[in-house]
Amino acid sequence: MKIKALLKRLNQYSSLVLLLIVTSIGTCWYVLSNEAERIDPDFKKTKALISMYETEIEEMSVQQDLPKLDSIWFNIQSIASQYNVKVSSIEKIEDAKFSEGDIPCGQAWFGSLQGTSKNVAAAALEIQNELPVMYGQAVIDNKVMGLSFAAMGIIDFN
Amino acid sequence: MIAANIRLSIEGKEVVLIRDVIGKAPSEKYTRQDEGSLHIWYEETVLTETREANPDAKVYGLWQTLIASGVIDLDQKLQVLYTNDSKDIGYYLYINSGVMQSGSIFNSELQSLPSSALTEEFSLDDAIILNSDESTLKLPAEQLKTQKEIVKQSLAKKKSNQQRSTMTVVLIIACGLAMDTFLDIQHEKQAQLFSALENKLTVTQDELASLAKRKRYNIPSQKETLTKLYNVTDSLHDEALSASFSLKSNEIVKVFVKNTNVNAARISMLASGDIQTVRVSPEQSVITWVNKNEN
Repeated sequence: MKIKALLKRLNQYSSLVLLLIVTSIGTCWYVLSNEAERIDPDFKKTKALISMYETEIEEMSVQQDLPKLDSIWFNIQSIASQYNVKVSSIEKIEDAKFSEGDIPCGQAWFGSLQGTSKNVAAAALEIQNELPVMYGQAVIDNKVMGLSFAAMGIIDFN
Repeated sequence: MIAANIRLSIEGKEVVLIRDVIGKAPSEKYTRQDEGSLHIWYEETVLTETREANPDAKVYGLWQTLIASGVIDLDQKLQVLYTNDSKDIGYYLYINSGVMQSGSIFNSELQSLPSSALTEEFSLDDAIILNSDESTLKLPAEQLKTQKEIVKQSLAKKKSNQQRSTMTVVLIIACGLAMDTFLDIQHEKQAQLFSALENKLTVTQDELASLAKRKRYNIPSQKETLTKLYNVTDSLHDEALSASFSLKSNEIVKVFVKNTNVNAARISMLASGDIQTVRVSPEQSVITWVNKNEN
């Protein structure tokens, strides 16, 4: 009897119940679809990046300042001449077999050391020991070697 | 003692009970009203006249009031209500196999019994006598209404239901919009915080880039590779060497040497630690190592 009465009541209010269900579903869909369109910013990743950069800044701050590029160049030539090695400049970064990402600091001038293989190797060792220089590509042909380098420093415009 | 068409006091209220009928409608003139799960019928003209005669009293049906008071037992075949002390006038309710019929008792006779009841030869001695004390009665939820009033009430109820439905729909949509606005505001706050964080990131990046232009930092030491290169070129300075290699870290270096009758021992002497020498053909050997630069 109670079930019958309940069914009768349900039937009586079926259109209302249907309307409420449709409205609820529609409203939920609207809210959820709007929420799905909102992009959650990645705080964790950005904070990690900032922390990483701050550590690098801390480490970098205590490092020595780079010398001026023209003085580096002068010193390279000076050391190379002691080993009878010729220094020549290279205009383009790709000709020196470097890429932008290879240069860790400062501004770079590119060049090459040329001479007998043994002398070039000895000069290269001394130059890197004294100056902010990085080597790229070496080519040995019989007794002669060419070695490209990037000298890193600051440009003084004064 | 209760009876139809007289003023009574039920639950402290002045009421008049008019004669009504349970079961089938005696004629088309009768109006139906529900009381619980039962239908009661009454004449609208009687209702109107009673109201006019008793403007300060509420009008209910007799059986309607008995049903509302819970004195009717649907399992009993015959129930009677006497309206005088001599118990020869009153009303009866006959129930049998789903058939319900109410009627009058006059001169201790049941008037207008259904034909199925006549064959059973009922007598008033078999009847359950209903309590006719007005102090035990309860008022029904609604007074008797005319057809017009019923329609009006039904329309009002329908309108009220529609208003309630509209209000509920509006409420659901408003809740949804409020939730959406709340989430939007929260997102906006998050976006503002993130914007500040991004600004900090940009400032940090700029500071790092500025320092990287000025400071001696992260320049790899290629001392180990250069030393190996020096050792190889020093040991084999008279030999025909050929090579083309990068000095970047983890790159493999291969220096090719033309074999002669006298350089085999010198080449093999270079093999130590991570330098390997291999005679690849009768004419050529190769000296190999992997660059390990330090930062």
